[in-house]
Amino acid sequence: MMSGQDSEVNQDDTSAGTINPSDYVTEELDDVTILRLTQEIKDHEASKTPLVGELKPISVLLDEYADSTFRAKIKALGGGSTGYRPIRGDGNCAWRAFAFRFFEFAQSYAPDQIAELKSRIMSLTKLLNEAGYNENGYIDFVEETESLFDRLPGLTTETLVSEFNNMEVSSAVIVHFRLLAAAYVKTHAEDYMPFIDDGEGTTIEEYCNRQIEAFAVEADHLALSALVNAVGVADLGVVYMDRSEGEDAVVHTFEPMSASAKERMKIDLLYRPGHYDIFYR
Amino acid sequence: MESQNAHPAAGYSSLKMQDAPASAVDGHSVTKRLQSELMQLMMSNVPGISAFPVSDSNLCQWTGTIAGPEGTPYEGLTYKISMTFPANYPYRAPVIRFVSPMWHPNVDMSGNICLDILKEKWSAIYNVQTILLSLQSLLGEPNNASPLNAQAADQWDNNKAEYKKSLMAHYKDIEELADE
Repeated sequence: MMSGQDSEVNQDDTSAGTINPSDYVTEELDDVTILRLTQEIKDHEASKTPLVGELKPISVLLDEYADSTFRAKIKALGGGSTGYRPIRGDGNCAWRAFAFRFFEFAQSYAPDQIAELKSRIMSLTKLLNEAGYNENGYIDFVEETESLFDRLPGLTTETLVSEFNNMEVSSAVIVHFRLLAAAYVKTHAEDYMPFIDDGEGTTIEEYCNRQIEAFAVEADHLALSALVNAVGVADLGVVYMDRSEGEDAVVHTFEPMSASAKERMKIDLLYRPGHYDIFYR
Repeated sequence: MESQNAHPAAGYSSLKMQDAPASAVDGHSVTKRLQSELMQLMMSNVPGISAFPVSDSNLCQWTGTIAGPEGTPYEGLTYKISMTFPANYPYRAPVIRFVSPMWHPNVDMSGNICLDILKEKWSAIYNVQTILLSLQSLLGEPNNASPLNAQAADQWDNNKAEYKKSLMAHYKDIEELADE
C-alpha cells in the first residue's frame, strides 16, 4: 500500500529494513550466560551471609558503626536484648525474618499447639481464594508451609535454621506469606485504599502486584501491617535503628486488628535503613 | 491450529536450540513445577498461545508461540519465542526472547523483551501461561515511555501505516524460521 506520504519519508522507510545498531541494545549475551552470571552474583552474595544467620549479641553491631547516634542506640538496645539474628539482604529480608521467627516460636510449642497453629494458617487458604488467587498459582507454596509444620515437632532451633537456609523451603514460605498479606489487603480494600491512594490512580491490584507479590521487593509499612493482620497470631515490633534523634531506638508495634489468639507471639525485627534482621528481647 | 499444545512436535523438530544450563541445584523441584505447568497448559489449551519443552531431556528450555491479538497490527501473525528457566524458577523469572524477528517498541533487534513482570515485578505466582498472555497483550499495548526500539515507538505513536510496514518487513513466517 503505497501512499503519497511514503516518498516524503523515504529515507526513514529504507532504514526500517537495515536497522542502525546504535539505536538498540546489541551487546549479545545468550540466555544461558545471563542465567549463569545471575547465579554467580547470587552465589557471591550467599557466600557472604546465610539466608538466616546465627543468633549474635547486639554488641556485635557496635563493630559495624562509627556513627555516634547509632552507637548510642545500639548500646541502649543491648540492655533489653538477648541479641539479633542476621538475615540476608536480598529484598526478602523482612518476610524471611518474620517467617523464621514465626516458626521459631511455633517450634517451641507443644504438639497440640503446633497443630492448632497449623490449622489456623492453613485455614487462611480461603482468604487466598476470596482474593481471587488461582489454586494452581499458590498450591505449591502453601503445601511447603504445611509440610514444614509437619516436620516442626522434630526440629530444633538449629535444624530450623538449616530448613530456612534451604532456598526452596524458605522461598516457598515467603511466597505463601506474601500472598496472605496481599490477599488481606485485597479483601480489606476499604481499610487500605486511603494509604495506597497516591493521587496517581494506583489500584489495590497494582499495589499488591508491585509491593507484595513481586518476589524480592522489600516489605513496606503497609505490607507488614497486612501480614500481621492476615496471620493474626503475632504482634510485630519493628525497632528502628536510624539516625533520628534520641538515644533510644523508636519501636513501632503492629497488632492484628482482629486477633484470633489470646496469647500472641511477640516477633521483633531490627530495622536499619533498607534492611531487617530479627531482634531478640 | 498447528501451533497448539496438542501437537507439540509439529514444525519444530529441526530447530537448533542452545544447550540449557545444567541445573544440578534444586533441579528436582523446578522439574516438577515445569511438568505441572506443561500439564496445565495442555489441559487449558488457551487459543493463541502455546509452549512446550524443546526436548524431553531438558525441561528448562522451552519454545512457544504467540498469535498477534485481533485488532492490532499483529493480527493474523504468529511469533515464536524461547523460554529459558533458571534452576530457582519460579523464584526467579525465566529469560524470554522473541526468536521471530520482532518490530515492537519494547523488543530489541535481538529479541530481548522489556516487560516489568519479567524483571522487577516478577512474582512466583506467575507461570508460563500468564507470561504468554502478558506478552500477547504487550503486542497491542506497548509501553512507549521507555522503548528499546525508539523508531517503532515513534511510528506507533505517529504513523500506524509505517509501523505496519516495518513490522511486515521484519516478519518471518514461523515455518520459514524452522527451515533456517
